[in-house]
Amino acid sequence: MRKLTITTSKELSLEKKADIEGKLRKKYGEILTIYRVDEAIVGGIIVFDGEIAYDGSIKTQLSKLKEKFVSELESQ
Amino acid sequence: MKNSHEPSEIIRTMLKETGAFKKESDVRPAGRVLSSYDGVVMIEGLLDVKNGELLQISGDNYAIALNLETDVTGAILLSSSNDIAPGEIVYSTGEIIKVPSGDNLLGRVIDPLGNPIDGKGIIQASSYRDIESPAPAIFDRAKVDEPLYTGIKAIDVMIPIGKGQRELIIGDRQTGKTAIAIDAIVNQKGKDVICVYVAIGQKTSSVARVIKDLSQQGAMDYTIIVSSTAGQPAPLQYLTPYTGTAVAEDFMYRGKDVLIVYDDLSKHAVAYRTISLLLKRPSGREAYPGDIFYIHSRLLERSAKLSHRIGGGSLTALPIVETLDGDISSYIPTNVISITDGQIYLESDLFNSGLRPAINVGLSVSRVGGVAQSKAMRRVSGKIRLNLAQYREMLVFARFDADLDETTKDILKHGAVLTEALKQIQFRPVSMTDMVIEFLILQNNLLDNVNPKNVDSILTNFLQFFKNKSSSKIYDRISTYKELSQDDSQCILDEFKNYITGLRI
Repeated sequence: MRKLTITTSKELSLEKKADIEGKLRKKYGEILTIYRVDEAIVGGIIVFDGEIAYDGSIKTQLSKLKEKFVSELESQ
Repeated sequence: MKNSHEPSEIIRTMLKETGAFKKESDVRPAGRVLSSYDGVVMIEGLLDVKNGELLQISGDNYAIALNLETDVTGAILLSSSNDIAPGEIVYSTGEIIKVPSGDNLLGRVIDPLGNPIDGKGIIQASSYRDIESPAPAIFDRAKVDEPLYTGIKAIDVMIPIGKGQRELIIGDRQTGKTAIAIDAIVNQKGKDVICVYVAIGQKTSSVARVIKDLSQQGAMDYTIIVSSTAGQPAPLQYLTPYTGTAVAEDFMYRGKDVLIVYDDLSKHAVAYRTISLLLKRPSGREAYPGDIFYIHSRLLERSAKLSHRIGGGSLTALPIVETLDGDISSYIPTNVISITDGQIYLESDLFNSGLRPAINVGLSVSRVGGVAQSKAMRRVSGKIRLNLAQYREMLVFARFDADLDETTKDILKHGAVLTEALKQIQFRPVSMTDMVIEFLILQNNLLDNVNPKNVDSILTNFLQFFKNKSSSKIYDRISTYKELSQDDSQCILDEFKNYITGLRI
């Protein structure tokens, strides 16, 4: 039984939750899902399975973009 | 790397990069917060986390992993934020904390994470250094034989400090410990020594005062201040001296001489005890954890004199420890005393009776000693400690106002004059040459019959007179070659005898 933490920026609808849980069960088997709402991630979804975090949040993408800006400017 | 960019350039780069950006999911090891209390976060998951690794908890919260157990990792928060909720994701950064280093730090005040806190804008760091790094190896070190002048007579003459040495300043509260350290920093003006002042858990007002004093004395140009005040979380206070050392090390490995002051390690020990107790580590004597010695030994071992082969730089440390009721045999003081290469012991009684700096010469020592003194200084400083020790012994008899024999009276007169000559007020550093001349005169007993109260003015005025005369060639010779020839000594003594006779008229 895997405990999964699913973080989104807004509360998910029951439909969406069922959809996600279906997909995750295919990968993990029995799962126990914990949903968290964190506005700070701006958008997207983060799935944490106890060891690895699959980070699809907008916030992280924005951070990466910022890093690209800085490294481009610095190399000029 | 350019320091500033045209706005149009920035916008162009941003548009280009945004267009080319490919969205990819980020897959990395993570953990989940189990509990968070008092600045300690318990995390599950986080396999492969290393000791001392920097962790990122949602948003801008950072923590350091310190307790590594099979199922759970204990980490200490670096911010005082209260909004870490159980269930939050924790990412490992894979790195130890790095702090900025480089010339742009000079004149700035930073916090233990390297952020500027003096309101003077961003610091452009030339490089980043690990906050903890191994001390220089045995074969990378050279002998400590170059003097580091504090400008304080009592120290430079009797308890000399060499570049690369660790000399502890220890005493009760309000005995002038910080004052000595600040004077040492002020004396480095024009001597090509970088200074780092590390304030650990101090009152914000005290740090402000230090900054003001250093600015007024013109010392901020070559000084960096690393500060964590008493109101900041214990983990930040714990990191402060390591940050300061990393900043200083950067200069040392580039061949420069650096002086670092840790003010003070007693508060540092308390901060570490706080963290350890919250991490539920077993507590020992005085509730300190088992590795309380190690946190200081590994810190102070990073101070050294490097061999010529790797640049010849040096890092001299002046750690400060506060004692309670003069007890230097309590836990933390004995620990640090056994690590350092000597101590300068300040006493409340001396301070209160007007002897400032309140240095107890008998209990103070520099294990490097005369090797770190110029030849000129060694010539005149020889018997001073002995004279003062004899003086202290005889003082007991003087109290009885009994009939004392001539030898005893001489010891008392000479000792009183020496003691007066060793008094010094803050921010008046004395050069090595001035000290050599003063003590040459004193040790030849030329002022023994003078009222001790007048000793300071007589010597000051004579030095002024001597420097302006044509015989100042001698003065320059001593300053340049740092040696005192027999002939020059005789000249100085003769000059002085004439001067003194002139005064009587």
